[in-house]
Amino acid sequence: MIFEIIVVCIGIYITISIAHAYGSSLLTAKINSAEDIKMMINTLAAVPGDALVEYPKNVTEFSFILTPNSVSVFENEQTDQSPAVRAFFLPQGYTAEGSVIRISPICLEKKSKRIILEACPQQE
Amino acid sequence: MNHKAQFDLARKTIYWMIAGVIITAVVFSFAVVIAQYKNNLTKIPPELDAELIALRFVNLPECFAYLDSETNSLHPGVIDLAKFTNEQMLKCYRTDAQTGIKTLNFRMRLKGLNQEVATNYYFNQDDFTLFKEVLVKSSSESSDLVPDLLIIYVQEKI
Repeated sequence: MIFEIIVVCIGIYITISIAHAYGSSLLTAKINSAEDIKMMINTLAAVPGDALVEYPKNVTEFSFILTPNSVSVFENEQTDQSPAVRAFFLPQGYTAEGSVIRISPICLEKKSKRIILEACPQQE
Repeated sequence: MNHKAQFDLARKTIYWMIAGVIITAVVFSFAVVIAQYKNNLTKIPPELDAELIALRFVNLPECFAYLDSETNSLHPGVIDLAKFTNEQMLKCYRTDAQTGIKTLNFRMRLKGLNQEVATNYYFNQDDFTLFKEVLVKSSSESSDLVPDLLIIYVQEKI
């Protein structure tokens, strides 16, 4: 009888631990941020001329790295072994660059054929 | 140990062997269900992704948008027929060899002129279609703009 109770308690503890681990992690927010930035870059690449767009979410928990082919989102840039990475394909001659570390808000700026990820300029 | 005790022990051993397997399977299934729920939370509709990529086809001179060489003015929504080639498509949207078949690929057709271009990893596996009303400039000498329908066939990952 006691053995059965112990086994049931262990089973309950394991399932609650799994649910808590997924629920308390920032994994979903990290992936959503990477997908959002990817879509913003695809949209910016299609805008003729220059543009500046602010990412409206608070992303102080994350760090971002933008390369010409992908965007990576880290929870902790020194220890995160599984960043959220999303690839995109820019037209020929276009490039993407920039990085931000735990700053909010962040902006994407298109200058001619360059897309730059940076902290938003201070508004006066 | 008498017979009843032996029977009880054997019965409980068999019971817990089976129950252990079932409980383990239930716990793993629970973890899989939560992982699938998380994937559904982060899933982006491919139609949205394709629409955002397709914006460049009619808005950028590096793609198919008409750029007046004399005034250097861009005309978004106007297709330059001279640019409507596979070579120009590669300059506009080119996927790499490693991920090409795992990402969106496109085939575009001008309905009225029956001309087609496609991306480098397009293999005729259409998953859905987008439509854009465009104007077509057929030659630099003529200033006529012909209305047409740009049909964009989208292939998701293979």
